Amino acid sequence: MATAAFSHEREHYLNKEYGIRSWLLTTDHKRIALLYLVSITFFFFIGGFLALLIRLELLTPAGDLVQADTYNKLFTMHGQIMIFFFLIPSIPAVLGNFLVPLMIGAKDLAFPRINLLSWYLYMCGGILMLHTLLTGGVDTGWTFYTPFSTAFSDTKVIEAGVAIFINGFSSILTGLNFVVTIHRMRAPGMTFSRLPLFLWSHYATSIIFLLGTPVLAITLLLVVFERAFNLGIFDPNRGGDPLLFQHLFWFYSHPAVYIMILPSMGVVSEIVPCFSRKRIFGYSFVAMASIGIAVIGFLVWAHHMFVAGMSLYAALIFSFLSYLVAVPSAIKVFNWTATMYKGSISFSTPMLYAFGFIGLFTMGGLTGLFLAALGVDVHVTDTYFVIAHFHYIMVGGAVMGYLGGMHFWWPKISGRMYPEGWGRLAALIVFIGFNLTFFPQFILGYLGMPRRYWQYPPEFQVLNVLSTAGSTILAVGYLLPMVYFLWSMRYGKIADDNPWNATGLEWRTASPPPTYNFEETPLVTWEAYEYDKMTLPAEVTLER
Amino acid sequence: MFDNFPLWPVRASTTAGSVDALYIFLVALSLFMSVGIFTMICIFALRYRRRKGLEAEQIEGSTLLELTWSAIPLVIFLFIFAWGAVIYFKERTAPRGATQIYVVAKQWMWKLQHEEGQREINELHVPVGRDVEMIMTSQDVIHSFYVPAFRIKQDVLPGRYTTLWFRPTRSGTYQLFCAEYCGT
Ligand code: HEM
Ligand SMILES: [Cu+2]
Repeated sequence: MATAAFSHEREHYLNKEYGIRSWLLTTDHKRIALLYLVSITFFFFIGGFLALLIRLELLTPAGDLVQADTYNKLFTMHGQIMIFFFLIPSIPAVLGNFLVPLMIGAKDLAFPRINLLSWYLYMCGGILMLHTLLTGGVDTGWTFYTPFSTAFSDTKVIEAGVAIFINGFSSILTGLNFVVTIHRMRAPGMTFSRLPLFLWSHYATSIIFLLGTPVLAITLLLVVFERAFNLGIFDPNRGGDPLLFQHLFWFYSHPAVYIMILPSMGVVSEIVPCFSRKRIFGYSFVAMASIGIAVIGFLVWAHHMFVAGMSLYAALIFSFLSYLVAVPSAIKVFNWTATMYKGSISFSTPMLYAFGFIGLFTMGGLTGLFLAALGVDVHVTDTYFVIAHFHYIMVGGAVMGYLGGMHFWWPKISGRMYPEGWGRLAALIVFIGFNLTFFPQFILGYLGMPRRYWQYPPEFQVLNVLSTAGSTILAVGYLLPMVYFLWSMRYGKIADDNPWNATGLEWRTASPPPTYNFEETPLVTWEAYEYDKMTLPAEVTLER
Repeated sequence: MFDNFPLWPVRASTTAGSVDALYIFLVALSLFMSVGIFTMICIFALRYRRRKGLEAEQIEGSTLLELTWSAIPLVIFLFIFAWGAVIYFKERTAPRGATQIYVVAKQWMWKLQHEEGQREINELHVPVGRDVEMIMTSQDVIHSFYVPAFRIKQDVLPGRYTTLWFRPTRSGTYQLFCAEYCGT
């Protein structure tokens, strides 16, 4: 054929078709993953920009850079954009979309068109959110607490609520797609006990998507109804109950924190064995820990409400259950550490991110123990201590995992290697910047600095300056990978099919994979992580 | 010199001491756990770093180890739970005979009224060494009564009463914050 003269280039999902239509109407899970990648990166940088403005305002004790109501909009929109439009879709919709079919040896997800639909729903929600941001914003906090949100705020609560409502359906559809795909489309021989742990964690995440997100959708709808049609649901002046809102909101939003962390745990469970050349320690315990987290995670929501006016005995029960949910997280940390024992450990970029993840997640988890301790929580709830806790887990943990995964699978996604030296440098910068930004906030929190204040007493200034300084370093750390990933698409070294000599099925097809993933359906006869049967990757053997 | 850089909040109520005690225990435990885990990781990473002549040794896992490192944390967690619960129980049950103060919160103002009738706004004067119980409600949105030096906090809701008590142990002027976001 004529095209053969053009290039010896093999046909794959990226070069099969060109043009904007071939992307916007694609049903290929790999292309949809890239659509998500571009869109969540966009929202990440918007959310990050808002965060920098928040930190700049907090550089000085006086409220001087922005007005008080602008400040309230800044932290609200930062939270909503980062949580709903970046972190929740991040790993599942990008890496999950790309890898779930590849890892089980399938051609695509079970419902390719629904997969595309979920991206469009995400975009509709996202564009509405952007519109909200550009035409005045919302000031309720990401938590939408009533009756402030339904009766007092005069900002665009309805619009933001609808944006998140629509976006919720994209999560539900993704979850549905993953559950059905993992159940129905595994290649012959790929039994549940051979599933990579990345898939176990995505399975657990999908269950939360399916069972939790509808509750958020209904809750937001009720807020919209109370605001728009004056129904009395949450506002005591109209006969409603404001605590009911908090119960409903956290019934979703606590499990949602596990939506954000579980996929990242899955990534780390892939990276650690690969760069230690070892089977994962305690496969079934790590897998069951994911399911355990998803199940118990549904039973601890009211630990966000210990001072909200709930009954004493309810508080005792929720504190107790919160300690139970911490156990599976601890199990995972111990197993990752044990996996490294007697391994052959390389310090490639993905592994550096995995180290970062384990360290920061451990600190986030340990401070969760402080918050679940009733007597201590009364003092530190709604202070910077809580802010530091969840950033350690969600930014320190989840985003580190996301970046680690992006580096690990970038050769598969793009067919090119990223520059290793820059990769390690960026990982280091992120780690340092992160700790400098958020560690001082633990101290601020215990000193009693409440969250969501634009001014603060002068004695808190030193710690706030440290935090702001850290955030600028962090920003550099996040910008770097974006630059060199883009650079590598053109100039990066061509990647082998399996540059890390990893065990997963996704590495047994070409990089980048052909449109239908595999030339022929693979037959699986091995367990996940049989690193004893793999040789070392060529270039890495050369190291000392 | 540390005026601008305090590392510990003032301790000015009977509750503060017991909260600090548990907090210090938790900090010590966290230090112990994280230093333990981080040293293991560093030791493994250095000792088993990839080099010629070193091959990974495969280990499947160990049920005994798994059970140990689930059970020990669980026991420690339950201990923390119980300790935290005891403090909380005391915080939520006001002693008999506490002086009562009525509080109405509204957007950006605390209105307080003493038993004898005198009123204060945004400031509260109470004697050292006496139990004080606050009976609080809100006229509009949710507020939260927070005095870091006393280590106590309670949300204040419209349409219902919530209470909180404390016993100051040290005279001084302390910050009173509204810790629940209440708009501008
Ligand atoms: C290891 C077990 C964990 C425990 C025991 C725990 C405990 C808690 C508690 C008790 C609170 C409420 C604090 C308060 O508002 O006073 C809290 C807040 C929070 N936690 Fe955790 N947590 C854990 C893990 C996680 C994980 C894995 C994530 C996220 C990936 C997370 C994210 C959050 C967030 C976002 C908040 C604050 C939400 C807000 O108020 O805006 N936590 N945690
Ligand atoms: Cu929670």
